[in-house]
Amino acid sequence: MEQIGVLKMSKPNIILLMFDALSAEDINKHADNLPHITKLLQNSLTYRNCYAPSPQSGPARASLFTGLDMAAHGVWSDNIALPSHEVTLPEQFSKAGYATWLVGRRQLARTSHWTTEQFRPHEYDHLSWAHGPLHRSRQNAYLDWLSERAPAHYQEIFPEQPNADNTDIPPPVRAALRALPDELCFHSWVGAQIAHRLSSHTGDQPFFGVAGLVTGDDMGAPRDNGGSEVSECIDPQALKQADELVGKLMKEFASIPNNIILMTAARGTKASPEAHHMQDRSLHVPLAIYGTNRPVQDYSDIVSTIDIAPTLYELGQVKPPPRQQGVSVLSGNMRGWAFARLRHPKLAHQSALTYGRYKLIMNHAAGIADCYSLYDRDTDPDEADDLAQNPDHRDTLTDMVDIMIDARVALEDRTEPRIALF
Amino acid sequence: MANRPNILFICTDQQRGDSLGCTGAGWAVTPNLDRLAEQGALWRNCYVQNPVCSPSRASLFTGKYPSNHGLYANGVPLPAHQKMFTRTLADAGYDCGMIGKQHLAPCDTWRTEPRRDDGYRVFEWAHGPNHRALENDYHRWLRANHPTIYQDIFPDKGANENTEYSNRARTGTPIDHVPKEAHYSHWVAERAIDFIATDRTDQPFFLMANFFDPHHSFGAPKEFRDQIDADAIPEPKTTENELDQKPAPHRDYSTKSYGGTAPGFQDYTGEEIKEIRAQYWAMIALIDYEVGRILSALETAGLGDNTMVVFTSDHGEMLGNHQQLLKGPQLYDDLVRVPLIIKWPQHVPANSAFDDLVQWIDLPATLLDAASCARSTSGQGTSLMPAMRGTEYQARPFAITEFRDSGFPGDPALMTTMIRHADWKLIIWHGPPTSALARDGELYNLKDDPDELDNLYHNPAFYDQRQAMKRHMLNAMCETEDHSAL
Repeated sequence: MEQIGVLKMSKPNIILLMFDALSAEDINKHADNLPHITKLLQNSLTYRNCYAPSPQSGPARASLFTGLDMAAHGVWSDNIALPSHEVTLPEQFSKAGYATWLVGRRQLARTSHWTTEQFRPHEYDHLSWAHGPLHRSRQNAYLDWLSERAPAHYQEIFPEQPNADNTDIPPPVRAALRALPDELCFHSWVGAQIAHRLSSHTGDQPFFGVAGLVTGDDMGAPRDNGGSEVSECIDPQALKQADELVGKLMKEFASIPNNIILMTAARGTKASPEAHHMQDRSLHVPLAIYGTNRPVQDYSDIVSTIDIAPTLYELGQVKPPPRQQGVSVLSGNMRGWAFARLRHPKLAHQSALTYGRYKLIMNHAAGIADCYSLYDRDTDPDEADDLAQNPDHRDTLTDMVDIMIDARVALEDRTEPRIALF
Repeated sequence: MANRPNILFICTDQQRGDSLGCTGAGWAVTPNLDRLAEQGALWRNCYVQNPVCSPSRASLFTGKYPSNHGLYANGVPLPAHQKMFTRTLADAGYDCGMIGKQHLAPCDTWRTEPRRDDGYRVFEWAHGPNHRALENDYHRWLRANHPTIYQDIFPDKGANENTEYSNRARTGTPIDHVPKEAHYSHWVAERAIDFIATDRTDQPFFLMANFFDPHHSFGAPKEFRDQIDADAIPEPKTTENELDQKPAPHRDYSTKSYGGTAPGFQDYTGEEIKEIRAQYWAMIALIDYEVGRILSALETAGLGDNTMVVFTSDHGEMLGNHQQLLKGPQLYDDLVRVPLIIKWPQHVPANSAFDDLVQWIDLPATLLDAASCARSTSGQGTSLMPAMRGTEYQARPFAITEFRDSGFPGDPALMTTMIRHADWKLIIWHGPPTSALARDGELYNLKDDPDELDNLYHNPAFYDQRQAMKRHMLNAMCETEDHSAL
């Protein structure tokens, strides 16, 4: 009997701490303001070269929650719902006996025009859903909380009824939101909801919780430094508030043995309006696995956020769903390459391969003379010096094009099992 | 909607694009198919999206590339959520039927192919003439109509129980050589004629008549072998040192076909290869004879004018060319270019011929267009009707074929991709991270070298051309993704 008890106890509680838009470069840039995130990264299994499969949230989140590339799940751009036949992390954890909850952003379905997301049956036992503080769905739980707790502030920020046909956020609304005291901000609400989850947790059932943090310019930062249809810029104030939340979770949750935080981001951000959509700033995200008495190591191997679902299944001792393309980063057999695609309906389609020392970006709308960009990741992390036309790098370009073809084929959907020879 | 045509879709298995009289085989006995081409449109550059049966057929039924429909190899079932165009036709009011081989699910070890949401009223299935599922409708017909032949070939005791029997046979098997009245091809025609004769008043029909031949094993009724002059068939196309300039797996496949499980080109003498080629065209002569009977039945029923007839095949056959037999990862035109004839009086001008690059996934789009159905939201093909009607038509500049360890499994897995663009063809033999195999390639100029004998891939003089084709391939890979939800 005791052994069964031990086995049961050995299943950890897990919180997936998921930023909407936060690149590794953003963390470096704001490091002075992010003591807790910095501490977490220094005391984790940290993967310094983790890449999202898309610079857009919808596809990147669908991949992170399914362990599948866009080629398999078919969510190529934003505002496309994940097909119902795919299996998400919370669904699989729930099936394996975990309690599941979500606080904050989800984004696996359309959210434009302040649409309320459709959730899936048996996905979360408990939901505190809010796409962000400025998303005026009637079901936005943060705005409910704010309007109840601070009606005057709420009225000041939102003097008018929401209009689904006019979802532009005017500057005064952004300013009013940013002027809220810290204890009323979005991440304070997230923290309060998580605290409530932790205090009501009985302990006889492990849980898998998702904290969907929002640090992109939907948080109210003025849209003058590069936010676009595809990529948001970072809101330093929201990031600082998120850092406080990270510190709180490290202290109140992760200090307990067998509790795990996996921290990552769906995608990166954009440095400027001119910046390339496929630059590292848009694709290169943090990935860290943190917990008391857990291993601390820094890996430079290239991994992808499609590897996160298999990693969480391994951490949670949950059998993965049959369709998986990712590989657990705990397996010691990391992929060593990452492939990303931009398939926005209004923008030139682009693909990017990160492999070894180099990064190759292809613009599918350009001619042979200028369709490729090639960067040396070691000597040029800011991707300022395009080597594609440099004759000294012809062989590198040739090799990278070959590997890009093979990487593209490697991500095709071959998850259906072969059950016979013919 | 009153003028919606009947659709008779005749599909053979493993028939090369150049195997008909009208496509260059002067020694072929194909009067009925040649006449069909005269009465309609002949497409000379139709490419299939995979060189083996099941993935290729899944592309036909779904209108998607194999990388998108998920049936990437023989032995893999078509994922449950994929839709078949036959369902759309049935929903539009068509009386739909399928006779012969379908292969959208594993059929190895004499499995019975399960029905899907296919829309068929009639489903008379027989994976092949040697396939011993109890549901093999050809065997049921043979037992009822030719009991002695059935009993001789499949006796109660001692019948061949080896499921790979016909794949490994060096020559035709007994069932291939039975008199034509008892042959699988005859059964397909008999059942098709019966289906056509069904009284439907105004309801249009869609019939898929799927012949198993000229698939190996290489054997045909003597009556048809006698019609073929083996000496008139040219020698296989190759050069003495061809395998030296081709990617290494070509040599393995030359030695043994089917991932090492079936006899390869090297197992045969020149005389034996000559006989294999003669038997191949004997099988085609029988198909032609049976197609002629089906087309006569159509005329007899008064349906000739309002029936669209399509003739095509799911992939080709190496037939000794390039020192190869059967099919596999080789993406020569031998395997990936198939016959395509479309006849529809008053809609498709007689004696028309097209050299545009078209793909098998264009066929469901064409049929749905002819049937006045809405375009499929998930299909990736383009209707060929505008081209045949002479209205505005923009041909796709490329054709693509994806082999994903699709035949008998390789170790390591063999993954190849072909793109044809203008006169050029690039074939990539994928390396890491797709396959553990060393990366290699083939580059041909089909205008100067239509037989694909001179591999220019490693020729430094063609470096720029090779890179230009790789750009086309990457762009085509982007364009062929399933963006249906985008």
